[in-house]
Amino acid sequence: MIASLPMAELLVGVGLATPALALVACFSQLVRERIWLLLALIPLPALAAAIVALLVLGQGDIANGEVAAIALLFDPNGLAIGLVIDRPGAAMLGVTALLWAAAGLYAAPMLQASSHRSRFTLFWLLTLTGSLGVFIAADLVSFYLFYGLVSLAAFGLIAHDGTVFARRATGLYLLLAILGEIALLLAFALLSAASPEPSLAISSLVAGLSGSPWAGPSMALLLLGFALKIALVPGHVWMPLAYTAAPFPAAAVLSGAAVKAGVIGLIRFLPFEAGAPAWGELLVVLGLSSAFYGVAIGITQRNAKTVLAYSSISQMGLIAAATGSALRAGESAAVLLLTLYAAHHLLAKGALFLGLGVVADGVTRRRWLVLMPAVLVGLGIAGLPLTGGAAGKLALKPLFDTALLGLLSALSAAGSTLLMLHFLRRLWVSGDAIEPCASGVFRRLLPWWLMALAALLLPWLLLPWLGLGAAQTWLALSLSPADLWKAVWPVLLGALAMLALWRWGERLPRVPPGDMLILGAPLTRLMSAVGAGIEALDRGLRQWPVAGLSLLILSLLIWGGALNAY
Amino acid sequence: MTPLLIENGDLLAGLGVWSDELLVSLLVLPVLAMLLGFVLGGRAAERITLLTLPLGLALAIAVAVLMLHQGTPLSYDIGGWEPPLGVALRVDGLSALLLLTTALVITGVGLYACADFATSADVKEARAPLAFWTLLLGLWAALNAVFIGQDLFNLYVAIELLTFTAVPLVCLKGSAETLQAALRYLLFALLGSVLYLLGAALLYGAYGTLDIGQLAAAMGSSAEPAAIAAVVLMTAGLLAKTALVPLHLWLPPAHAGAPAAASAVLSALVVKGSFYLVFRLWIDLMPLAYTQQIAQGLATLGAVAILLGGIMAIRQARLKMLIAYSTLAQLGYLFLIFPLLVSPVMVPALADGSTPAAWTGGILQLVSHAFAKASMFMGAGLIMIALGHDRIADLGGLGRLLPITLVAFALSGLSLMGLPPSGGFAAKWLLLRAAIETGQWWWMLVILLGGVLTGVYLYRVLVSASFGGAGAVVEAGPTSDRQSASVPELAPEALPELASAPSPEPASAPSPRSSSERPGQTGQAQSVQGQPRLQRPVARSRELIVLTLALIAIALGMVPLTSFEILQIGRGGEAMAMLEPLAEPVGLSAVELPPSGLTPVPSVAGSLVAEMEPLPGVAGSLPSAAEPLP
Amino acid sequence: MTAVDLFGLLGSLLVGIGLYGLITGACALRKIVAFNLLGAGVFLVFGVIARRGAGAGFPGDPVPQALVITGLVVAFAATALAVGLLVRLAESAGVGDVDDQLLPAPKITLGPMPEPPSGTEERPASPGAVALGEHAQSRVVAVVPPADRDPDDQTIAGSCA
Repeated sequence: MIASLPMAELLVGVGLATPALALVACFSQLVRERIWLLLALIPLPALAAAIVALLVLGQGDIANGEVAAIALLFDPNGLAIGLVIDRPGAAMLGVTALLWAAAGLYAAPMLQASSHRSRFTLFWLLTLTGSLGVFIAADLVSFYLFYGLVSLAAFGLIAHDGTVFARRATGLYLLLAILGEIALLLAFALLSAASPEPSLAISSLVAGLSGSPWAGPSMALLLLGFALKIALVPGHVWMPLAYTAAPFPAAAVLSGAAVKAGVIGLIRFLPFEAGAPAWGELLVVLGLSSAFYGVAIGITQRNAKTVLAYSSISQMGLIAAATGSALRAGESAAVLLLTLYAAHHLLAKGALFLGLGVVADGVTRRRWLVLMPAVLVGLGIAGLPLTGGAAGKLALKPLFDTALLGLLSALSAAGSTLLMLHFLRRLWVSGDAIEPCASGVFRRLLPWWLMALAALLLPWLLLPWLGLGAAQTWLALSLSPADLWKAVWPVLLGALAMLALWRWGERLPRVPPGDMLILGAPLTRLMSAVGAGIEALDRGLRQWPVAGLSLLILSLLIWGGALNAY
Repeated sequence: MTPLLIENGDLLAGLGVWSDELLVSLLVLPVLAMLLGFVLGGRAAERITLLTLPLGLALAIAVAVLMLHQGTPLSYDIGGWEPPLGVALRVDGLSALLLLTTALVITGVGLYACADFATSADVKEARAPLAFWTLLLGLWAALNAVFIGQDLFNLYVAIELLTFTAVPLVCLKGSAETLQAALRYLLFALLGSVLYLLGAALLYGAYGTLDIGQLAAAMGSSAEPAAIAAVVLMTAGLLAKTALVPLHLWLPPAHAGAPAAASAVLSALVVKGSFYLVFRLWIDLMPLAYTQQIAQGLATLGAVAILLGGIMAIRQARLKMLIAYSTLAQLGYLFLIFPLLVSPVMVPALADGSTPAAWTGGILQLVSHAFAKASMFMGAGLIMIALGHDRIADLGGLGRLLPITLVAFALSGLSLMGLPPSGGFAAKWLLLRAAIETGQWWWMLVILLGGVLTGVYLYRVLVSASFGGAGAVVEAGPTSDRQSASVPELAPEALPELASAPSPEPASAPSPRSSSERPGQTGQAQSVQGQPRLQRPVARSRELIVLTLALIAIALGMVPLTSFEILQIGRGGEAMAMLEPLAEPVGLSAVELPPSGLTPVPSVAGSLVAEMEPLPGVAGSLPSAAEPLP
Repeated sequence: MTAVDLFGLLGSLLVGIGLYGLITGACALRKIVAFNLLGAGVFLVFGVIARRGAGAGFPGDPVPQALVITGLVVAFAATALAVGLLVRLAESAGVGDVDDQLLPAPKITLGPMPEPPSGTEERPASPGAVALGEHAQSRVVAVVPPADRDPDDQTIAGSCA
């Protein structure tokens, strides 16, 4: 039996070590210049590891709850630092590795022509390592390390083109990423300080969260950190800029895989068992407003990449709302449902970015060949029956348990339909007047077909592996008349709205990518004023007499303080 | 396995016999080397330094290993004269770690500087190499003296020696700016050292001894008013030398103007020397109650330093200036230790000999900053050589010219920012933990905001270095276009090891491989990217030195924190001694203090009468001043 | 008033004058002199402390005396170093204080020369360099490195000669 426990452990280690080792090997100039050829192969061990791990986790004795997860821990002084792979982690690891492999394949022809390929490859491998590791980190430190890698190293992918726009996008992205990191660091410090035992294992820390004297601040900081990562409004401003600036394969992995670091963060760190109604409601409100806000701004965009970015904002908002609902109800089983939805979004968004690349790079003149699968994948995001997205929508259904939430989620599906149709139109347009590219046609078409297929089929296949039941059951459920209608009417509504958009779309105001950034202009001015003020202060302080006098005043102050002691 | 252990044990036991000699040679070795080098000239000085580096490193390791083996601090009274008349040397866990750090950084700097400060063959003697090598050795001796000194006046001499060796290093270039920076540094440091000396005089007047241990014992739980004034004066003087905001007027120009190797030592080590003394004054010497009073104030200044230094670093146009302001900000973190360490919550941890998080975190911050900053400054030196300038806006293409240096810079930056897995992360994590545990959340905000500022200024450098170029063309106009088109771009692998050869001729012949490997890179692409040209080649070995130091800064974060228990050696007891009086209410203890025994000696005369029995040997525990000189 | 008090007061006075001079001194030379005054005051305080030890019937506490001697040597060395730096500074830039603006002589930079902007090939001498007079100008020229040589070597060779 290939799917044995030691085998899975070994593979998980190898899967994570492969990109890291590739990175180390890049210290050699020889390797650095050539490793781009292997980008598609490097994530494959992780894919294999995920498959084997899912098989092992699905085996009878383990499913009974004896081993809920495969842990690769080493234990310096009881801190239990290491990796752990459970069902959500394995599923996400698998689809992530698949997307990275496909995008790596797509990136190769682009890199072949680029003079900056070794730089791009370095950042690619760094982000890849973080992106894979974050799903299987068992403790705070590893999680923070991988999360930091996937967040910060991505800046190299966004900035790759070196244009002014790319630089601006990178700066904004990095600023918000660092803010998120800082919030998380603070939250982690609070978590570990609240924990009675020295262990840094995430599970034990989260278990102690409800009893923590700083439960409120911890939750707030956790949500802030992850909300910035998954781009909940108003922390979303980086996403349209970043995805628009990044090259297609990079945008695919960023929108598909890198963002899911935030989702796995929510899954891992929120106390689903204990529940947190107030925070859950906050998350629902934030998430749903993101979901609709993304659609509203997205339909005003003309760049197809930007439209996809706003679609990501909307989808992530929906995931956040579902998470919040689960958190409110205290449903720990919801984690698996969220995983399924996130996995589908990962595959679909990655596929769409690659498909857009195929059109916009002029890989093929026969745009219909791209558009047809793209329609299926895109409407799948809105929950079109029989597509993989339908499984995702079905998975979220139990989480939106009240009538109002159900209606809102259906409306958001209609919004997604609208946004996706708008995207497909922009996709078609972006192929106009593009010079066909001669080289690497197959190497770019293959990953697109692969990912489109995966987005349509894989969510169904994942169902049994996640322990959610047989695919046939779900399929039958989704085709029952009541559910079919529930799935179809939002799509029809969205299609109608698209007709309206087609007719009157020109009247919509032009919102620049990163909509709310306009409001940031006074802030920028304020910042530079503060900077200038500080500079003047520094100049003043560095005058000799001022410094001498401050020395005397300082001594007097310290003296006064010390005299205060008794 | 077992025989090996026994053998090791024997070896260590054998080493233990030599502990006194080890301590003394920490001072004697660099001083002797310095004198020899000065007499024999610049060429010899370089060779002697290179010989001294491994010896000094071995010494520092031997001392640390020995101390770890014994589990107690090593101490030695010079010439067998006990304090207060004699001068004691003492190595505890903290000073062993600092000695080791010093030795490592200086070794790195020394190896790095070989290429910069070689006496060229066509002159008999050059000023810069002679000055640099002798000063480097002198600086090492001074640092060692600071870290193992136990006598406040001895420490004064050490800290003065440190200043006198550091100041000329600033102006090795001899340009007017560096001369002015050096003069400013010197004068302000002198102001500080006079205040320190005045404080030392007052302390001697109050207690009749200058030995830190004896002074602490004599103070007990409450210090004389004169002693408080004395310690305050000394602190102010030391803060001036540490360049804590607002006393930082000298640091940015001095650290930015010095040659890269010198900047590395100045930033990594020299400012830490005076900080270490501030630390000793308030943690080892003064009763805890006083430290608790001033801790928030010191940390406030530290916070101001973090913010001001960070913002100023963001606004700099030159790389070395940016790094200098970054030093200012990072020094601020060190002062956050005080309130975290002496807060009433932490005190029990201090007392029972376990290592409080703030303690380990603060020291880790000091050490990891030393390595990271040394690496950064030396990296900046290489950038300056390779590009001929250090304007941040024009660093584009650096990733191609000096990839290793850029990686080293990024790794050091990782540590400064406090991202895992780095020494800086471990340090900030521990400081955050300490801030949470002691309920001082406001310091958490400062730590984190400092991290953001660090991220922003590092981002400026990294993005300009990795992705810059397009903007540079616009600014530099057609000149730079012409240059980049006419000068073949150099791949780093095409450069042979050119440690010190002044002629760049091999650089103009790139290997065929480098050109054939870039099919997509045409002249067109180059002019679009505005590739800078390599002014002078940089030896790969120097890049590796820079990388090694950065990797040490990173590796510090991977060391299990338990191994920092070494810091506790020689600490627990003193902390206990300080704390016993604190167990009673603070307000009362001043009143109820027994009038004899612990009471400081108001006048030396009284003690002299009591002490001047003709038994010099028993003069250990109580302050005594005068003994018949031999 | 005993001699101890008198010397103590005198020492404090010197410290005060020295501090005032060091902080407000208009030029570096004044600051150096003030530093010496300050040092003298501190040494007097040391003397007073040694003298107090003599109250017990001894000719004086030898420890502070030893410290004073060491301190004197240190202060002397410091003064020499400071004066030396000041002389070099005045020679090379014509300024005599630490806060003085150096004349805008772009040829003396913290590093090797930036490329001259296109159009201005070899500037004969900046206006600032002319204002410095003959001597200063020659130094400025000596500091300018040719583009391919290390500026450090140049400076050093010039100053050693």
